[in-house]
Amino acid sequence: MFEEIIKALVAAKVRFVVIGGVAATIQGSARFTNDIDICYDTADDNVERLAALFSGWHPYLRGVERGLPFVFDARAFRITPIMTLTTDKGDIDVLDAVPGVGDYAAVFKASEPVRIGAVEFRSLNLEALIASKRALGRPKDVEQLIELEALLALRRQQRRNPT
Amino acid sequence: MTLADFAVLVDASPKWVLNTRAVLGPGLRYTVAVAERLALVKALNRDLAISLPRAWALAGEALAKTPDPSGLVNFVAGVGTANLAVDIHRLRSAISTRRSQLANMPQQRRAGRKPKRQSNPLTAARRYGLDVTLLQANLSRGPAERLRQLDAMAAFRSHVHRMT
Repeated sequence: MFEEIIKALVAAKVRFVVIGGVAATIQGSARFTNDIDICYDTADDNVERLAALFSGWHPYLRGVERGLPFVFDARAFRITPIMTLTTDKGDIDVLDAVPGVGDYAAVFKASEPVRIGAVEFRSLNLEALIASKRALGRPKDVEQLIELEALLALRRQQRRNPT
Repeated sequence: MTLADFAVLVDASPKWVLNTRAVLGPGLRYTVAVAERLALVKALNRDLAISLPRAWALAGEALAKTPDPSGLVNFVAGVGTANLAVDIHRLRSAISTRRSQLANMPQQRRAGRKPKRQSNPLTAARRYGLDVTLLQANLSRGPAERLRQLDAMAAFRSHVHRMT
């Protein structure tokens, strides 16, 4: 599900960074997440590609009743840059910025490359994930913060004592 | 609906909502219908410099009309020298999208003081009840393996979800 979505985004040449729960898993988190969050470059060509890709997956809004007015195209991304979608491929949240980190350029800078087979994409690094959770400050973020900080401490321990 | 949630629906700051409420009257309720009208008021005020009371009246007029098949509502503004076209479908779609955002990304912050940062995050995690050995086991795997494990769990969850 997540791997398939990421591979499709890479194949469609969408400029994006994986953020949120999936990025936390990539960094070592043991928490389960059912949706993938991505931060995307808001440049026109990129938004066009993103809209074209997702259109084929029958997107609709998650958590609201069926049948509400919903227009999904590149222009919609400009009016509402944050979308929480349910699609044929799974639940996807798209954001133009990450609280505590910044816009796509800042998110890109705070990301690291990840390789799955022949596919390479970028995922938010642990320090930036911690910054975003701290900025959001919701109860569930505070809980996750404890885990992410523990992961960072473990990583530093591993770096000091590689054996 | 709280002021913060209502402001998200209108795509405005809570301060803008409060100031506009002060101009238009305190009778404005925090409902989806009012958010729709206020989102249009904001666009008319910001993009066309129409005063808030006039924009409120025009928005009410636009929303009361039935849009054409393309979702547009055309109406004459002022004394008939200007013609306004409002894309009602897009306006309503934007409100639906923000409702979905509110349903999935709640705005409320944790009440009370920020938790003190623990000097030792591992001790804090253990005290919280986290299994640190699970994190250590995760770190021994590669990112791709961790992602595949999550994928398998998500597939299992949706399989169970379909069966029940």
